[in-house]
Amino acid sequence: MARMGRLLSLCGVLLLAASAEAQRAEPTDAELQEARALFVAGEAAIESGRWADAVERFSRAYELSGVPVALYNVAYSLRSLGRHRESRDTFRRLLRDHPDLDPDLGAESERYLREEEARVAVLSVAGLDAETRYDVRLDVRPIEDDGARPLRIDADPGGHTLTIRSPATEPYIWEGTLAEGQELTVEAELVPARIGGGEVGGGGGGGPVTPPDEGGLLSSPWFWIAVGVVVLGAGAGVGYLLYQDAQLDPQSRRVYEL
Amino acid sequence: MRALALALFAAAAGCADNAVLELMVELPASPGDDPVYVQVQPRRASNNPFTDEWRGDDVEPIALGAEPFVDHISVVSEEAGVDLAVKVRFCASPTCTDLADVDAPERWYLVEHPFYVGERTEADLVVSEVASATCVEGTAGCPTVVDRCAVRGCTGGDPPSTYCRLDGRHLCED
Repeated sequence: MARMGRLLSLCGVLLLAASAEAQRAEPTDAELQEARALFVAGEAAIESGRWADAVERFSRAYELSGVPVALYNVAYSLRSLGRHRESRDTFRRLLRDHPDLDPDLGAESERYLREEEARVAVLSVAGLDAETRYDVRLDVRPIEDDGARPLRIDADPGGHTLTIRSPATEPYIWEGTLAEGQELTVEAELVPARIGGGEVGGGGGGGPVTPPDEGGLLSSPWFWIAVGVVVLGAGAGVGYLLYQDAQLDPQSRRVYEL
Repeated sequence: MRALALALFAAAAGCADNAVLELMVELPASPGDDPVYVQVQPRRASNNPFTDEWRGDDVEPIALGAEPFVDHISVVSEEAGVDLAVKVRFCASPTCTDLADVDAPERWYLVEHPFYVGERTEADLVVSEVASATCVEGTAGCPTVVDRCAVRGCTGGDPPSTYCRLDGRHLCED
């Protein structure tokens, strides 16, 4: 509960609802009612330590109502989850989209924003061709390659896997840990893709692509049989789980199967 | 593969193919100082005559207390259309397996058509007192029959007086 100290309560929503900026179409009574219910559910989620659920509920409450307190609570919950990059962006959005924010809430948001900005780490990727757009992912998150070199990627502190792909190069993978606020530069050593025993010509990604050699893994029937078995097995597993999930559950712990 | 396909279809459609009867057995207070344990045995009625001894796994017997209480048992079936026979046995031992419990007094109940696939229903069995002897089958109240229209389910709001429609079909029937 101590962590809830900075969170604003439903009373805050009710008080501030009237002063919500006209950032969106005026919410209907039904939307406001749903937003209040979601806000209460968000508070309950925090009471039981389910911060991710709280993020979802406060986000939806904000979408429905446009009330800044809900967005503030989204940012605060993200901060509690250690999702500092998203928390920073949400505090920024709050301050940008609600210039008439309650002064206390604004000051608090500014303070948290500065904290979160200091926590977000930056991974700079050097060695990328300026003319090529790469498929870049940090963990599972796609990163837009806007052509800026070096490519700067904001990241939460902690362990990460960076993957860079292009048709002309072998995948480049970096694994490492970023500290709070750290700025780290990695040199992407991109190796031209080896296709058909040769290399793609030119090194710039514009050369002709020859088909894979016939002795490769993808042309092996055993590979595809193995893939089929895995897919069928996974399908059966998923089907079983869905089937179990669809069944009625007994309400008592004293159960008799007829 | 067919079963898997059916299961996938049922799951994809969000359909359950089981039925659950929430059985509420109202039990009396213990009549004296000697402990009395109650064993509730649900069975498919069609192949379990009351006069037979019913074997197999059952829910744990439960001790009667100083006050009446309700023993809640969930009976799960994958088959609709069957009747449910229930024996309530009054035992001296906690497991109902002692020699003294071979002829434990019993109360018999027959719940008519309690299961509807994909639906949760509820029925009450009222045991007003600890039986001193097993009743004679065919005499009044032996078994006590719970009418199919008294099996609750498939309605919202205030409970109706009957759970069947005017044409006699249960509210859980399509």
